[in-house]
This record gives sequence, C-alpha cells and structure tokens, in this order.
Amino acid sequence: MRNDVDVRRAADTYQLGLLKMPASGRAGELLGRGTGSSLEFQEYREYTPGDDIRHLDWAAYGRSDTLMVRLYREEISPRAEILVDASRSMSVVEAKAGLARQLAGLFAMLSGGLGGSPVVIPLEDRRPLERIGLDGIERLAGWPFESRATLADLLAEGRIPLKPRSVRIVISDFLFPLDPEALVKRLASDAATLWVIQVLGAWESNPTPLGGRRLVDHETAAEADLLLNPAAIDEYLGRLRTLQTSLSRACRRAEATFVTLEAESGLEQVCRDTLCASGILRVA
Amino acid sequence: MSFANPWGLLALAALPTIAAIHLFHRRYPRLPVAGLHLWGVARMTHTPGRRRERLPITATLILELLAALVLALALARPQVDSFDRAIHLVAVLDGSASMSAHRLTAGGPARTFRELAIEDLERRLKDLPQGSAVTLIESGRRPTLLFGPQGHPDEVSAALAHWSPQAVQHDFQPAWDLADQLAEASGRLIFLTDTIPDSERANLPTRFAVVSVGEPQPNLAITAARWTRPEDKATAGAMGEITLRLVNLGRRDTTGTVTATAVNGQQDQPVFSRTVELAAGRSQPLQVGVRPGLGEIDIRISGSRDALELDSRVRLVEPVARTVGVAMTLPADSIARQQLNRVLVTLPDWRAVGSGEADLVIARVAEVATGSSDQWWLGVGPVDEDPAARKRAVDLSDRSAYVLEKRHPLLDGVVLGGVIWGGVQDLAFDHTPLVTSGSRSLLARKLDTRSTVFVLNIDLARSNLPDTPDWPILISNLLEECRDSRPGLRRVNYRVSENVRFRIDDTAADGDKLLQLEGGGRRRQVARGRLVEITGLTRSGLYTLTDGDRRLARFAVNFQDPVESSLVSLTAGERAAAVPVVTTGFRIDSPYTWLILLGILMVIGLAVADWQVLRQAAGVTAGPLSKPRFLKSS
Repeated sequence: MRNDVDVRRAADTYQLGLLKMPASGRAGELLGRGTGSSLEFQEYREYTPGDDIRHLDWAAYGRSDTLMVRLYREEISPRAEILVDASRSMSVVEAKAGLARQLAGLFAMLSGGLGGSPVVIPLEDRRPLERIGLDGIERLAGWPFESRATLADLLAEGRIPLKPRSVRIVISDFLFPLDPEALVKRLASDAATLWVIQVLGAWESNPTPLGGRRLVDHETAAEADLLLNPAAIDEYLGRLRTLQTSLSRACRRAEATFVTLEAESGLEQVCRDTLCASGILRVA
Repeated sequence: MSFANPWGLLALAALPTIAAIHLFHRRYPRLPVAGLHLWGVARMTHTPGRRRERLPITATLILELLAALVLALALARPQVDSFDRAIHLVAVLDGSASMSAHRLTAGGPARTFRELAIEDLERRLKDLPQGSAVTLIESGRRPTLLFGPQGHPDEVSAALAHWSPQAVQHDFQPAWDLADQLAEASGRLIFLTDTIPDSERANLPTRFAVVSVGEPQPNLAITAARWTRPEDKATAGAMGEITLRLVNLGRRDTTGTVTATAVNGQQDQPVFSRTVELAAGRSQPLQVGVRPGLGEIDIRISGSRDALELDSRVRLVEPVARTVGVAMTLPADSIARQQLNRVLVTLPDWRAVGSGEADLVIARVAEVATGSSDQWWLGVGPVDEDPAARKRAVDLSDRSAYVLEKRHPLLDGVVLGGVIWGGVQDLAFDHTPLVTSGSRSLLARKLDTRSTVFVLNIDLARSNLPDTPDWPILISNLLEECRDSRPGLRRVNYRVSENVRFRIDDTAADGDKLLQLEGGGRRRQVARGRLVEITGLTRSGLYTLTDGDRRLARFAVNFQDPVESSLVSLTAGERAAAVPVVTTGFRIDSPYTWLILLGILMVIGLAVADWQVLRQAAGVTAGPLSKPRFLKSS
C-alpha cells in the first residue's frame, strides 16, 4: 500500500484523530477513553473504600470536609486493530474493495507513524484469522474479498482475536443481517477507541430505477426477481436508513464513531470531507 | 361432477406451462447486490450442480394459474351432481305430413299436432336433471338428425323451430333403429307422433315410450293432379286440360272450393274456380280446360273441414312438347315404308325432317350409320337385298321366337304372338340380340357404332308383323325411347319422393362446376353429366335446375299421398316403455375424460410436491410478503 499514491499522500497529510497527550509527561503515549493513572486530570468523585489513597485530594478535603478522589485519564498504548470485512459483498463493486484496502493501509501507516504496532485483520473464512502487521500491508493490495462469513458471525463465534485497550477500526458495508446494538457492544468491548466505518457503493447509497431485475446476493447467492421502480427503491432506502441510524445510535452509546463513506468518492475526498469531519482523522 | 365439453379440460395444460415458465424462465437481467434482504424480497437459493430452483410462488403466478383454471373450467362446462342422474333423452319426431295438420275446433283451426308435440317435448326437457343431453331425430324415408347427438337441452328450441314435418307415408323403423343406437344402454327413448303405433306390427323397440298428440280430423286433399297439352295442337284455340282428383277424407259430406291461379312473374292471374260437393270418404275427379301458355298454375282446395294445408295445394308446370324429328329413307314404294307410315301418323309429337337433322332415322339395313352420331336408327330388312340372299332367307313362326331381353324398354308391352318372321337372314355384324329364333336374331341392337341402331331382321313384305297389335306398340316404344334420349325433362310434374331423371345437352354436360337445384325452400347441388338424376325430393314446391345463369329445367313437386292425407284414424295418448330404462347416468364424453383429469391432477400434484421438496431443501422460511429481517439477534 506504500506504493499507492493516494494512500501515501493521505498518510503525509493526516494523522489519527486520537486525543493529544499532555504537554508534559512521558512522550509517545496516547490517552484513552477510560480513567487511568496518567498525569492528565480528568475529574473528581467521592472516595469509596478501595480507592488508591494516593489520589485523595487533601486540599479539597480541607475545604469541603469531604474525601474526594482525583481521577486521571488512563494512558493507552497506541495499538491499532483494523478489522476489514473481506466478504464477497465488499467486492460487489470494485470501488468498495479498493477503498477498504486503502483505508486499512492508511490507518495502519498512520498508527505505525505514531510508534504503535498496527494489525490488519481481514475477516474471512480462513481459521484462524490472519493478522497482518505493518510490514505486510502490501499484501492488502491483492487481497481477495471472497469470504462468506460475516462480521456478525465471526464475532458471535468468538473467532476475532481482539486485544484490550486497542484502537479498533472496523471497515465493512454492514449489509448483512445484524443486530446493531449487540454488534457494536461487542466491538467496543475493552477497546480504547472504536471507529465504525461503513463503505457503500454509490448505487447502494442512492439506487436508481432499473426496471425488472433478478437481484443476486453477492455473498449468499440468493436470488429474487424485483421490479426496481421508485416504490421499491423508497422501501430499500427506508431500510438502509434504519440500519444506518441504528448503527449510529449504538455507536454513540458505546462512545464510538460511525461514518458512512461512498466508495466511488475516492480516498482523498472521504478523508477530507468525512473522516476529518467526524474526527477520525485530522490534518497533521 | 361431469363436463359437457371435457376436451376443454385440455386447457388445464396451461397450468404446468405457466409454472414451467415461472420455474425456468429468467425474465430479468441479473444484478449483483450486497444486501438482498434490504430489498424486502424472498430468497431463492441455488443448490450446487444442475440448476433447479424452487418454484417462486408469487402473486403473478397465483393469478395466472387461477385465470387459466377458470378458463379451462369454463371451456369444459362442469356440471356438478349431474353424473349420477343425468339423462340422455333421444326423441324421434314423426316427420309425417299429418303432424302439420291443425286440430280443428269450433272456433276454427287451433294449434297443429307439431306444435302440440313440441310443447310436450319442451315440458319433458324442463324436467330433465341438470347435465342431461338431448338428441332429436326426424323420421322420414331417411331419418334425419335434427339436433345433437347429445346436445344441451337449452339449445333444442332452435332446432325445433326449423322442424317442418312434410314427409309422405314412410317406415319409422330406420329412425327407431338410429335412436336405439344413439341412446346406447342408458338413454331414454321417446317417440312423438300423432298415432300410437301397433307395437307388434310396427316392431317398435321395447325401450320406446310413445306420446301421441293426434286426434281424428277431417281433411280435403288433392291426391292426383295432371296437366295435359291440347290433343290437337294445330287447331286454333285448342285447350289444355287439368285433371284433379279431390278427396273428402272426413266423416261428413262437405263442400270445397277449388281455385286455380296462374303464376306469371309477380302477378297472379285467376284461371278458374269451382265449387264441388264432396261426399264423405269419397274421391271425385275434376277436369278443367285451360288455355295454353299459362306457364305455372297454383291450385288450392279450401273448405271448412280441411285440417291439413299441405295436401290441399298443388303447383303444376305446363308441359312442353318434346317433338322428335323422324327421317325415313326407305324406298317410296316399299311395303316397309307404307307399314311404318301407317303407324307414325297415329303417334303424337314427331315431325318429318331430313336425315341430317333427324333424331330417328328409319332406313334400310345397308344404310344405317356406323359413325359417332348420337342419332337413333331403325334398320329394316332385308339385311342383304341381293335376290339370291333374299331367296336364301327363311321364314320363322312365332313358336320359335324368343324374347331375350324381356325388360328392354323397346319391348315393353310387346307380345309377338302369331307373328310370322319372314325373310330372316344371318347377321354378319356385332350385335346384341333382343328377339331370337334359334341362332338367328330377329330384332337386335348393332354394337359397332356410337349411334343407337336397332335392326329388324325381317322382310316386312314376307312378314305379318305389321298386321299384329305389336307393330304400333313397337314403333311407339321406339319413338318414346328416342324422345327420352333427347335432352330435356320427360315430365314436368312429379310427386314428393319421386326421382327426377333426364338428359341434358352436351354443352351443359361438359361443364366443370356442379349444377344448382333450388326449390322447396332450400338449395342443393347436383352432379353434372349427360344423365342427371335428382333424388330425395321430400318437399313440395317448384324446382329450378340451373347451370350458372342458364336454366336447364323447371319442374314441380307436389305432395300427393292419400294414405298420409287421411287423418281420421289419428289417436291421442301415451304408452310407457315396455322395458323400463335404468337411467343410472351416462357418459357424455369420451372414455378418456377421467384419464385427462387424472393426468392433470398428477401434474399439479407433482408441481406442488416439487415445490414443497425444494422448499424444505432450501430451508428458507422467508416468504414473499414477510417482513425483511436486517435486525438479527446475536
């Protein structure tokens, strides 16, 4: 992916939208969402037995006669897990697979640039799932998107080796039967940060009437005849919006970020317009 | 359940066809998508190997199958609950003219027996169970299928409206036999007539029920009618003569009025009117002179005691003279010529012409034609006029003469008793002997010519044949046979059921198209040939035979049947069938009906089973109308 001009340009332009480390303190560390032992003060709360008495704020006790504990933001290691949906549905149009590859490479390179140890995990039928480090990201360029297993299936089976306190980035179209709440909850579990990125083709996002068509599910090979008229498209869009709304709501509850990208827009545009706007990337 | 038109069930073949179209035919181009469930449609899953898919049960398919099913059933006309009780009623309608007679009442003519029979039949048809079938046969010289076989009772009325009984007396047996065959084992047979037949004498099948609607009625009839030309045509003002035979077929004396009207184009012209007193049960001739040139005459007899109109009217065509041209080339002083002239002057409708234009040439044997002319010739002996040959000729007595062709028309009425056959010689040419004596032919027909040549192998100077009564008969027969061989009708007035046979000229005989005969309320075609024969004339009326625009013949056919005209013995009543018919249902269709049904049910069953099996194999539960599931619990 390092040979991909778009990826290289994006890697030079952006950096991951993680929280900045304090001006003083140990260098090279990033802050996570949870409370930890870093030097960055986060908030107060009342003392409860078992709390570290080293964090008691005696000055506050003197002022208010109440034992208060100073809470500090936890320090996280910059480990990134990039889960890429390698199912056949991602290759229904080549642009989807291409953008997914570019995003995975970009996130890996940006994470590596921060001194982390990024891992790209293509979600495929192979067991165990392969973990591709920064050194092997060039393999992503020719990665086949032919899997039939879905992200939901793999999570339910517990076959995705997720490391705690990692920056977790999930790239998929999410066009498979799923329960958004449960799926996001599982993904967000023990993650320092969770970014959920939905990649759709332009026709998938905004289909146009085509008349009678035999729809073939690229993943399951199921078929159905349908008249693609405005009424059918309206129904489809209604269901798609419901899916996206559900995913977005679940992500907010899990303090995760959900974005939808249109594959045909290209890496440069999605980085500039969508990923930066959502805070996943920021200009370096 | 049964079907009036079981072949309509073949339309059910459209069901598997529609299913096959839905099963195998890809209507739409393929479009790969990522999330089929978001489109809210059912899934069809492919199985590996040969491509077979579960039949997609869509609203379109269901509606198409229902439409095909309804159409097939409409074509087959199902009749529920009729199979066990349906009846095949086969009715024989008496086609006799007496069925057209009115039932006379004090107030005048009431309904005809035909109308009473129709009323009775329609009442029986209303009582038939649903799904029953009807066959109507009209009796006659040849039975006619009026309706059916096995038609729907609702459609009988149209056939009955066209039923017009006019037949002369005939045997009912052919109609009964035909009905018996059509009814098969379970059909109900009924004979509608105006007289209950004697079962033993009439040999009525035992399964027949008889309904008679007749009642004794008086009747006036014209049982014979003839129009003859004037005897002496040379006399100015000579009158032709119409001869009628009038019959009072009632039990009381009555008075009838006979009126004759000349039919000349659009205008009718009265010819005569006579009032006649007719004694009960007696016939009375009526002769009336009429002037020539009237063409056609319509004659009616009317009276208050006349129940049947059909036999009270005759139409006559004026006879036309058919003159035969006769040429005689015998020597003027010969005895043969004198003897022939003596006979010819007494015979009518011939004229002396030259031999070139003659129809009949009477000549010496040595002069008879050997060409291809269609002339008739009579060669008169001696065959060899050489004195030596005449001397060798023998004389034979009547005892040795033998009539070889007794039914030959030339010898009709000829006895040849006491005839001395003088001057008989041996014949040296091919011939068919008509009268022989030993090995010698006395009267023969010469064979080596297309012309019709008869040879009288005697020397009339040595024979007494001209002195016997057979001589004028023989010459008259010859003249009449020659006349019959000429083109044109022999007679112009016929009775119903008589055959009309006559010759037409060469021009008409050599055409390609069929001749057209129009008359009696119908039009028919007649085979073309030199000899035209018209048979089966069962309706009275004026008939015209045409060849394109050319009229070849016009003749009249009249109903003249004294037996059928007699209505005094008509009886009313009913007689049940001697052997009750077990109407346990009948087959109104081909024996393959249920095989067709079974086959169609099998196809439908297999289609349903196929769909069910594939459905289970696919393991798909989502239906076409089910709510799409993109939310899946983990």
